[in-house]
Amino acid sequence: MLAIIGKTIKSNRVGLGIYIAIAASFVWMYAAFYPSIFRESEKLREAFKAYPQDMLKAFGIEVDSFISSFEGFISGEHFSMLWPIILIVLVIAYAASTLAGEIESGTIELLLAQPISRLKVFFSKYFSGLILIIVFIALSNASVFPFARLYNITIHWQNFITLSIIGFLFAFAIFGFCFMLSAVYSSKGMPATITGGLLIIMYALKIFATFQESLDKLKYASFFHYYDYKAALLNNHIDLLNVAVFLAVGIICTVVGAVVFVKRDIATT
Amino acid sequence: MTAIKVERLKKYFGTTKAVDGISFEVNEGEIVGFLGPNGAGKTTTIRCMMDFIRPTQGRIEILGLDAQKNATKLKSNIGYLSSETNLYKSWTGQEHIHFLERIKGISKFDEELIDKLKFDTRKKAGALSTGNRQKLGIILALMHQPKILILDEPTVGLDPLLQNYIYEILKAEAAKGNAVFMSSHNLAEVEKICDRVVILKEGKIVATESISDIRRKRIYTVHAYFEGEIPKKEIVTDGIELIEEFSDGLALRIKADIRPLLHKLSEYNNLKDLEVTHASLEEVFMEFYK
Repeated sequence: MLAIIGKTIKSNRVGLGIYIAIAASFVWMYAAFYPSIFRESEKLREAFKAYPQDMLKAFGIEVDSFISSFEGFISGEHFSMLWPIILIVLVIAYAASTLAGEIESGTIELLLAQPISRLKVFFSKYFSGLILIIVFIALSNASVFPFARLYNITIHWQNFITLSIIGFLFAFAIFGFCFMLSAVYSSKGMPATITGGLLIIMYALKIFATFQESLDKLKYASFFHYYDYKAALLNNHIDLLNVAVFLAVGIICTVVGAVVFVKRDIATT
Repeated sequence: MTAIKVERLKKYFGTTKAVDGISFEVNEGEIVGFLGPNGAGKTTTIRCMMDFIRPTQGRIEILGLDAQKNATKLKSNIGYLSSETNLYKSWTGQEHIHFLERIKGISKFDEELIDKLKFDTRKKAGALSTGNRQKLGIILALMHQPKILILDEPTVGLDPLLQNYIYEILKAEAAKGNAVFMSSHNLAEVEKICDRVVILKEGKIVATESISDIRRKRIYTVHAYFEGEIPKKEIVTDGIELIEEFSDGLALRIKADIRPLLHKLSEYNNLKDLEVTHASLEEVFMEFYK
């Protein structure tokens, strides 16, 4: 099992490094911007008044916190959309290409021909994915500390740890879902398309729910509602419901995926 | 002792009967060739043996154990080569070998194989030619000297020299008491190294024969030339197949005792020439394929 985990992580290390570098470079950019934003906060407050309030709400920007603290600023600029997108792309790219991609390319036969049970193959790939996600979240978010120091920005480090936890749970649920599909299908295109499509729908549901009060309940069908980065970054808080939803989705999908992978025919093309 | 036992194996994909109730055995120390046209069900059978896919019905035993229930345990003793030789493109040959050593233990045979096959382990699999990919696949299948070898077209893409080396290895493995089960389209190769063949057609076994029995099968090609009228109707009767008709003669195939035909032909005074040839082993195989 460790041989597969080691090899999988080694094979993905360059890609992971690129994802981390992209996320960290954005953090650097926002950290570099923030001192001037802070200095010009009053002008910016006036400028925000001209924006449609619903739009600011939909994109998670609360003007007061956006201007008054680095956590508020980076939550609106980075953790509302950009960082989750990088995380989602990483998760889907890995999960879809791991099982389904290996069946598609035929390399799964090399693994299945070895004295390792299918369950071990499944969980070796699964834990490798979780390790990649944890490393990405830890390093991309840890990059906040040196850049904040570089630009003399005061931050609440505990809040970034809390954000990393909710970010991990968000990724855990998406990863579990996509990995389950990867165990079901024999080509990586399907799990990637279905997961990506579902997340786009979920994002749209969250936006609709924000704009229209009558559609408010739709937000509960969206992972983006439970990914409450503002509560984590501004209040150092994670709602237990959010934890429960992400854990439940992640665990159920993982169990279903493992059962399907053990029972299915694996015929490479 | 029986190393591989396949009993009434069926594998259906929906309404398609890929394998339809086949039974055969491979004994220890034996090299068995698995033949059949494309789509006959060879790869499906091999995948069932490897537990990649599960039989619709039937049972496979390897080394006395149920191949499905004991798949993980059995794979310690199975060397497998797939027909596509699927490898990780970004890994070098050495990384593949090292990966398998971490799973199955250190190999004492890999250096010899690498040396004999003249394989460069530093190159990434993605940069290897078909022949070199095949070499690496063979190294990976053989390096732990398994008791059972299941090989899907093992010498595809290899030059004749290396093919001969592989034949030597397979024969040596069989001599040690190990069982070799290999599919192949190379009939000369099968004739050269296999003790027996299992011939599959449309999911069913059409023949299980030893190579010596196949050699004993008499198939003749007869060219008979006449002056004037050709007595085609009288000659082409049951058991005699007309292959070709010329202006002055006939080409015939007969799969039985040739003496009655020769006797019949001798009765024609206008018979001017006769040529009788034995069918090659390849032609005998082709009879099963048809």
